[in-house]
Amino acid sequence: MSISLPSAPGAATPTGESHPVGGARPLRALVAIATLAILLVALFWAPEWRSLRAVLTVLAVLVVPTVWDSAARTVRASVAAMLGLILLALIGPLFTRDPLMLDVGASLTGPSGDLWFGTDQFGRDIFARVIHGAQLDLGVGFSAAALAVLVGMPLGALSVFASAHLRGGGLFDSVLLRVSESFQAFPTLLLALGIVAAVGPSIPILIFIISIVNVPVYLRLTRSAVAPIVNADFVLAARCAGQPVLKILLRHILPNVRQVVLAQFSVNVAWAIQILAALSFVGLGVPVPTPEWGAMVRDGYEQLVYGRWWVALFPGLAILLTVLTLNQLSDRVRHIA
Amino acid sequence: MPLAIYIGRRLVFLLVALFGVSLITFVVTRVLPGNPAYLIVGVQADESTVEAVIERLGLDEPIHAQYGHYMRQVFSGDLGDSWRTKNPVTTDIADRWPATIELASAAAILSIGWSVPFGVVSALRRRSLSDRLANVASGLGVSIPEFWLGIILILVFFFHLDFAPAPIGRTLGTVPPEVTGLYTLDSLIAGDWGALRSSLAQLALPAITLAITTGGPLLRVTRGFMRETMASHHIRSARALGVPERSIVLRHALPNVLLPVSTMAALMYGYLLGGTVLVEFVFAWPGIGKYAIDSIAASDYAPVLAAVLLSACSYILVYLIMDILHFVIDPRTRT
Amino acid sequence: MSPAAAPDATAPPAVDAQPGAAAAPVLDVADLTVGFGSAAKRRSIPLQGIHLQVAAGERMALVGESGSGKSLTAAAVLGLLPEGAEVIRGSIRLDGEELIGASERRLRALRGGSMAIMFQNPRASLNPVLTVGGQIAEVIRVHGSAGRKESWAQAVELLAEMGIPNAARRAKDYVHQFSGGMAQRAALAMALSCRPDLLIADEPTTGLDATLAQQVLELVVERVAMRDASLLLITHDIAVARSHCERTTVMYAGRVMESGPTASLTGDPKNPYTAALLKAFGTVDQRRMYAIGGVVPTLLGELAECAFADRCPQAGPECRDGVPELRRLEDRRVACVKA
Repeated sequence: MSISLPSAPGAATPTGESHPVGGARPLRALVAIATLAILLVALFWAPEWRSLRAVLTVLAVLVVPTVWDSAARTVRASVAAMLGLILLALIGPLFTRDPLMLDVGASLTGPSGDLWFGTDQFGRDIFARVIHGAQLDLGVGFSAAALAVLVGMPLGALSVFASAHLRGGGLFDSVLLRVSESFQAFPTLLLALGIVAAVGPSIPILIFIISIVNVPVYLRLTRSAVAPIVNADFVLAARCAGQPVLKILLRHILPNVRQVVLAQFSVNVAWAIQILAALSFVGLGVPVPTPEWGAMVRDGYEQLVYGRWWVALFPGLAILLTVLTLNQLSDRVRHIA
Repeated sequence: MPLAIYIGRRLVFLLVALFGVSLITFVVTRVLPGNPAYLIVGVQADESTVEAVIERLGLDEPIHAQYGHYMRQVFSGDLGDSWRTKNPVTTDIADRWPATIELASAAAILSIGWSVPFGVVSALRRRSLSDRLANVASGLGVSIPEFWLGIILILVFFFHLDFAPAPIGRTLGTVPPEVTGLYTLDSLIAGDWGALRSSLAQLALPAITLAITTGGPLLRVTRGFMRETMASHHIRSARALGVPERSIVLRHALPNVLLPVSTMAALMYGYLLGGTVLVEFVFAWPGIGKYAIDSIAASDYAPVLAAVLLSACSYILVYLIMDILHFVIDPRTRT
Repeated sequence: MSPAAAPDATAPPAVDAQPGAAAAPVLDVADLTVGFGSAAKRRSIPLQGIHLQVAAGERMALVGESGSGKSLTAAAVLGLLPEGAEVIRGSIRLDGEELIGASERRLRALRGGSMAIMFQNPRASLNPVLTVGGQIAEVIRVHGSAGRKESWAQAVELLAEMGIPNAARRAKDYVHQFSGGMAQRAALAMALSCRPDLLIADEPTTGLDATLAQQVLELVVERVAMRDASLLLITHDIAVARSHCERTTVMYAGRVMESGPTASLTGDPKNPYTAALLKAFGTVDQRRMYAIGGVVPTLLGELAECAFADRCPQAGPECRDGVPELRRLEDRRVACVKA
C-alpha cells in the first residue's frame, strides 16, 4: 500500500469525496464571472454594439468547447459524441441546401433564421457547406490515419521483433528508427507543403501525404509498446514451440498494443484533419469549389477586413469541435488502457 | 562519462540525422513524380532553360549520382535561386530568418510562461478547479487550429476592440538599425522606445496565438510529470519526515519535473522554428514560413525546399544543444 | 541469527503494557479502523480494529503477509493515508498525544521529529536531484533551529555515525552514486536526525542481499537503542522479528491476530495463523517447504467472521460466529476463539 498524498487534516471526520464530480460547479461559476468581466471591460472600453459582438465571439470560442469538454467526460459519452459527428457527416448533407449553389444576389449576408451561418462571397449557404465539409474532412482524416496505422504499426512491431529475434534485425531496427527520427525533425506542415507543391494537390495525394508524415509516429509508438512485450516469456515460449514469426506477431503482440494504438488513431484523425485544413487554408488543399473547412476559413480570412466574421467563424468552430471530440476520445481510451 | 565523449557521440547522431534529412528532401525533390526542372525554373520557362537545368542538376544521371550532386550543391551553400524574387535563396533566407526566430522565441517564452506554472499547480490537487481549468485549456490548445485562432484574435482585438495594431508585418514605425535582426532587441539596443513599442505590439497577437497552441501540449506534459513525481517514493519519504509542503513542491518535486519538461520545451521551440508557417501567413509576418507559402503560390520551388531543410536542421540543432545542457545539469548523468 | 548485539540497556517490559501501568507506551494504537471511500460508498475496510502498543525503548515487530495492512498502519500513524482512505474510528496516541484529528501543522512537526520512518527501497526514497547530505540537513533544519552550516555539519556527522566512510565527501553525492546498503544507511541517518522517540522501519532490508540486510538491521537496532528510542519494525519475515525484536504483533487481512513477547509467541503460538506463518518461514523443523493454503481474502466491507477461517486447518463452525475478539491470554493477546 503506497502513501501518495496526505489526506485532509483531521482525517477522523469523513473526508472522502465530498465533491463526487468536484470542480464542475466552480468551473461553471468561473466561466460566468469571466464572461461578465469581459463584458464589462469591453463595454467600458468601447461602448458600442460591435464590442458586444466581439465579446460574443470570444464566448463562442471559449464556452462551447468548455461545455463540450465537461459533457464528454466518460468513454461512452465521447464515443457517442464521435458517432454523432460521423452520423452528421453521413446523413446531414441530405437535409441541407446545395453547398455549391451560387446566389450572387445574396452574397455575404450575415446569419439569420433562414441562413443559420450566413452566406459567403458567392452567396453559398455556409451552414450547408460546413455540414458537407464534415464528410470530406472526416473522410480524409480517417483514411489518412488508417493508412498510417496500416503501414506504421506492422513496421514498428516488425522492427522490434526483428532486432530481438532475427539475425541482422538490429541493423534494420536502428536504420528504421533513425529515418523516423529524421522525419520527426521536419516541421510536419512544411514537409507536407513541400510534397504537395511538388506533386500537385488532389484528394488521394493529400491522403497519401498526410499519412506519410504520420507513419513514423506509429512506428515509434508501436515500437515502444512492443519492446517490453517482445522479450516476455510467452513470446519466447511461442517461438520455442516453433510458431512462425508472422503468426507470433499477429497473435501475441499486436493485441497487446491495441489500446495504445486506438488512442493514437483518434489523435491522428484529428491531426490529419488539422493538416488538411491547414493545407487548404494556404491554398494547397482541395480544389476550389469543394466545401472544406480550412478552405472556408481562408474565404473568411479574406472577408476579415470588412468585419464579416461569420464566414471564418463557423467552419473554424467545426474544425475545433471535431478535433476536440477526437482528442477527448483518445484521452478516455488511454485512461482505460 | 566525460562531456567530450558525450558530445562526440551526440555529434555522430547529428550527422546521421542530417543524412536522413537530406535523403528525405532529396527524395521529395528529385524522385517523386513531376518534373523537378520545371519546379526549379518555373512553368513559364522555355525549353532550352529547362534543358540547361536538367544538365546542371544532373537529372539525367542515375539516382545515386544525382544524390551526390545534390549534396555537393547543398554543402557549397547553393540552394538555388528564387525566380520570384530573383535572388539567391540563401540571401532571401538570411533576410527573413530573424523574423521567424523573433516570433518563435517570443511565442516560446509566452508558452512556457503560462503552461509550465499552470501545469505544476494543477497537478497538486486532482479534480480541483485548477485541474479542471487545465483540462479545458490544454484541450483547447491542442485542438484549436492556429490559423483560425489567429483570425479570431485579429477579429476581436484588432477589428472590434482596437487593442491591437493592424496585422501587417513586424512594425508600423521605423525599422531599428540592424544588429541582431530581431526588431525588439535592436530597438532596445538603439534605445528607440517608439520602435520597441511598435514591434512589441505587432509581435503580440501572433506570439499569443502560437503560445496558446503550443502551450496546450506542454501543459499536459508538465502536469503529467508533476503528478508522477508527487506520487514518487522520495516525495513520500520527505513528507513522512515532516518536510513542509512548500519545500516539497519547490525544492523536492520541481527540479525533477523541470528536467524532462525542459526537453519538451526545447522540442517545442525547435518545432516552432519551422512551425510558424500558418501564423506568419495570417499575420503577414515576413519570415521563412510566409516566404515558403508565397513561393509555393508562385510555383517557385527552390525556396520551399530551403525552408524545409533549414527548419529541420534548426530543430536538430536545438535538440542537440538541449541534450548537452541536460548532460551538464542533471546530477544523474554527471557522475 | 542471534538477537541484536546491542547492549540491552532497556529490559523488555514485563508483560503486556497494561493501560495505566508504570510507563505509558510511546505509541498506543487502539481500535484503529480505516476504510476506503466515503461513509456512504464504502469500498473496502483494509484495517479493522488494530491494537498496537510500543513501550519506551522497546522493539516491536509488525509481521504479516503482503497486503495484511502493515504499511497502511504505519501510514495511518504518520497521518499520511493514501488519497481516498480515512480513519473510521479508533485512536492513535504518540507520547500520550492523540494524532487523529490533530492539525496538519502539528502532524508535520511530529513527523521526522517525534516519529520517523525509513522505507523499503532506499534508493527510491531519496531524491535523485538533491544531494544526500542536503536532504538530511533539510530535515534537521525543519525540526530545529540549526542554520545551514550547522545542519550540514550534523548531517555529515550522522552519515559517519551510520558507517558511511568519507562522510564529508559522500554527503555531497547524489543517491545514484550510493549502493543500496549505503543509501539505506543514509535513510537511517535522515530518519534519526532529529532524535525521534519512535522509528518505524518499513521492510528496511528489501532488495539488499542477506549479509547486507543483517548488517543494516543490526545497525538500525543498535542506533535506535543508543538513542533510547522505540522501534516498530515492519516485516513479512517472522525470523527477522525473532532475532531483532522483543515483542511481535502478527497481522492478517487488516487485523491483529496475536501479539506478545517474541520468544513465547514464536515458541508457543496460540493463534493457528501465527503457527502457520512460523511453519511457512521454516523456523519449525520440517523437511518440505510449507505454504498456507488458499488466498488472503479481499477486504470488501467488514467481515463477520474470523478472516483466517477459510484457510485455517483448525477452523470450526464457531469461527464463523462473528469476528474473534482480541483477548488477553497469559502473556499476550490473541484473536482466536480456539486458543
